[in-house]
Amino acid sequence: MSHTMEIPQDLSPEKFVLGQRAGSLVAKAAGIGALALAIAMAIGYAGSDATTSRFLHAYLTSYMYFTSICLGALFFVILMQVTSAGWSATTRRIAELITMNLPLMGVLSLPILVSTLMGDATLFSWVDPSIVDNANPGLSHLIETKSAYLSPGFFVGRIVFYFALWIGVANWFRKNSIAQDVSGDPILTNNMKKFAAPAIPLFALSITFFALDMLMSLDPTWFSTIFGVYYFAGSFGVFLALLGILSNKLGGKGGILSGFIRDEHFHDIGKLTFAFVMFWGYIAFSQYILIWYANIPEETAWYHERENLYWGHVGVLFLVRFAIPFLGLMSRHMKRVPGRMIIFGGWIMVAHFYDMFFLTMPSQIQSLGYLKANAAAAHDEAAVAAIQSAADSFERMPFGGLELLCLIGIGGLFVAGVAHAFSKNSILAVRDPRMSESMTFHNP
Amino acid sequence: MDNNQNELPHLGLLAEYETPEALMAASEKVRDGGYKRWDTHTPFPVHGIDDAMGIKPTILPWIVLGAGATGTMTALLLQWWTNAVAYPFLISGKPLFSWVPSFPVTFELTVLFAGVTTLFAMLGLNRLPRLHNPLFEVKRFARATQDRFFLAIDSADPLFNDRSARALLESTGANAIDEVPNKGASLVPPIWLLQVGIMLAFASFVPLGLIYSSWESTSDKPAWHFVWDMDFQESYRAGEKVPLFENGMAMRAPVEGTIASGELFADSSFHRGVLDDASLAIPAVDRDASVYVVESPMPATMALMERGRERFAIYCIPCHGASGNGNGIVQQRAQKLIPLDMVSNWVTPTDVTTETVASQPDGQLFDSITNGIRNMPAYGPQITVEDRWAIVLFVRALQRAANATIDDVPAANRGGL
Repeated sequence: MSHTMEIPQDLSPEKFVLGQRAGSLVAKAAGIGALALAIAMAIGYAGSDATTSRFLHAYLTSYMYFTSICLGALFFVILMQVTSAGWSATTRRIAELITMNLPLMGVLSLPILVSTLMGDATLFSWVDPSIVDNANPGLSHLIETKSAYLSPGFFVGRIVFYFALWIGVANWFRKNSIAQDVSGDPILTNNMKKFAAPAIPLFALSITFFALDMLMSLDPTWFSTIFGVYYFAGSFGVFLALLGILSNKLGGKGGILSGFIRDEHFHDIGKLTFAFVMFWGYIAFSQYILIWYANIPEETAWYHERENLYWGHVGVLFLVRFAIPFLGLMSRHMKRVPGRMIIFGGWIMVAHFYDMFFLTMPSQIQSLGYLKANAAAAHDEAAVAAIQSAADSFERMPFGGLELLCLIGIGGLFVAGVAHAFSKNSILAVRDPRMSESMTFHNP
Repeated sequence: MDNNQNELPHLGLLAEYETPEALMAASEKVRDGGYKRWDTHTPFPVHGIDDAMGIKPTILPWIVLGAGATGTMTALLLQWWTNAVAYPFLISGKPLFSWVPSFPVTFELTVLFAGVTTLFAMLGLNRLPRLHNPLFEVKRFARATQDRFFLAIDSADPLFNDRSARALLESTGANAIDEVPNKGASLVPPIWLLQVGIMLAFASFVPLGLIYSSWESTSDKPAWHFVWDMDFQESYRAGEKVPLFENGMAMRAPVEGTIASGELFADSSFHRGVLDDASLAIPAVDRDASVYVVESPMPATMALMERGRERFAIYCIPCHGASGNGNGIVQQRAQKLIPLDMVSNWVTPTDVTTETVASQPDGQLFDSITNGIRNMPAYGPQITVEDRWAIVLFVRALQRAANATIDDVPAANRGGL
């Protein structure tokens, strides 16, 4: 049993602004990130069509990874408000501050949106209407029926709409929560709880269609109705893993939130993380098992690419993303003992990147097929041979310089964004009415 | 149980305390006194009592881990053995065994074994269930479920000495100290319970024996019909003998000289693909090609071609393949089953694009579809007459495509090749 802490009466938000401790990181991380991204773009766009395709897929992998963290944070904020959760009052501000990266992620979607609007079908082959005619007759029908939905203008409009919605919701919650730091007005908590209920279906629908648009449409013939939930399960899981790491860092010995974030919080965050490891496994298997048993060619093709044609990764993904963290997080000590959550929190963050990689990169073969058909139509034998050799070398897991640069690039900007938010704002909702509950509760 | 226990005046000492704190302090003293066979009884779980009593961490998690691992292996072995060894059944080119789709069952069995083991290992480690505890003989012990906290030292403890144990408990400030009376009650269950148990244990083998004997023996009597559903009904089946009608048949034939609506198939060339119905008396293999209609009675239109393509995809592709070359999914699967000795006497589906088939008149193709040929069953009952002609037209297109030259491609489209 840990000792119950007295709640200080004179909490002021200024005490919990990290200031220069986080601020010194902003310029460094942003500089490294921007440089890495610039190099990756230069290599990607200057190179052959096959290189551009690889760059765009690598970019999308990292982009979807860091966006999922922001979306997980947004969902955490909404969920904690709608359930009137007392335990999380001392950690909720961390999530609110991470959602400040949503505008950044919106801006980072520009390379994808602009090239789509300009009719470049390197990433999304459906941008070029001629693929309907060139596809296998059995598949052309699948693309044709989606053509109204998968059109560049509508696509870009949707993405802009999702981000407008998320940024609006996140800002509203953050503004109210920060205003409460000064006023301590409990009405604000009531308002947030009321607004959180309708925000849940809005969030659910928008993240579902975001995942369909950005990831599932990479292969316009493939469909899985559970795909949105799959992306959501991973997103919330990876955010909880990050929250586990951050709260261990900030709430551990000597941390600025030491005493406010206690073993009990580590334990609760650990339990939620564990639950969402299982939820991801449940959803991922639901998708896999149905496709495996139904054995319909247009559905199995997606797994066939990932399991048989290239890397044999389906089983590995289940091990890495589900089985190992499941066993690792099962023990009470793993969740409770300060610092321990960092191990499997870190593991899940890497595993989730692997998941994004698994979703995105193998679809390169769609893009390469499209590029090859184009080059062949233009009688460009050299280009055909180059694309063919790129496709042949694809059998090895293509994690190389471009992928790393994209990860460092977007990751650097993301870290800079988080550090900036932490350096300017209090990382504790000091006058949340549920503070005392959060600081005194005990897990049975 | 020690034999000399019955000679002891009592089975141990029971001390009563008012508060959990007092019990904790007493527990620490008894623990430090070196006693092993003693226990505490409280109305609710008291945090920290484990430490105060010096209870070592339980080995239960390790037992559960072992059981979970056993469940994992059992599930994997079970699925591998049933799918890949005992009853290998190849389904559409999927491997006989793959561990990824086996994962859910593996997970479930792991959790099941671990969960059930947790319960029973916990009961076993706690020596439960127990029908009677001598502590119940002490009247005030009833308050252990209400508002009092108890500590009992068993006289079977090697360190136990009536005087020193009593002195120790007194020094802990107990409310009261009682002797647990020795009523001579045995912990061994009564003999009748044992007898009933043994009889039930033997009786439980009877159903297994019955299953085994019916498995091993043959009988000329019908099988037991456990689930009746609607298996037996007061109605006649086709082909059954009935006393109602003169000819004894359950099925009624149409009145002589009548034809049901829509079943007048009078046009031999359109409905049967032959010039004269008399030629149908000859077995198909002996018929001369000249008896058939040379050209389809239905004009070749694009709509008919599309219809033919669609019907071909539904009825013919499984065996003959999308291009008609006889390499459909059924043929492909058979090729995988033959090395496993799961198929014998396999007849390869005909390649409909060969010269042999291409040279047949339209009527002969129509007849083959209608009545079947060699291993191919008759499709007349399933496909309408018009659709059969549509398929014939599409097969002609396949034959032309299979033997096409560059001249068959419109000049404007040749660049795309």
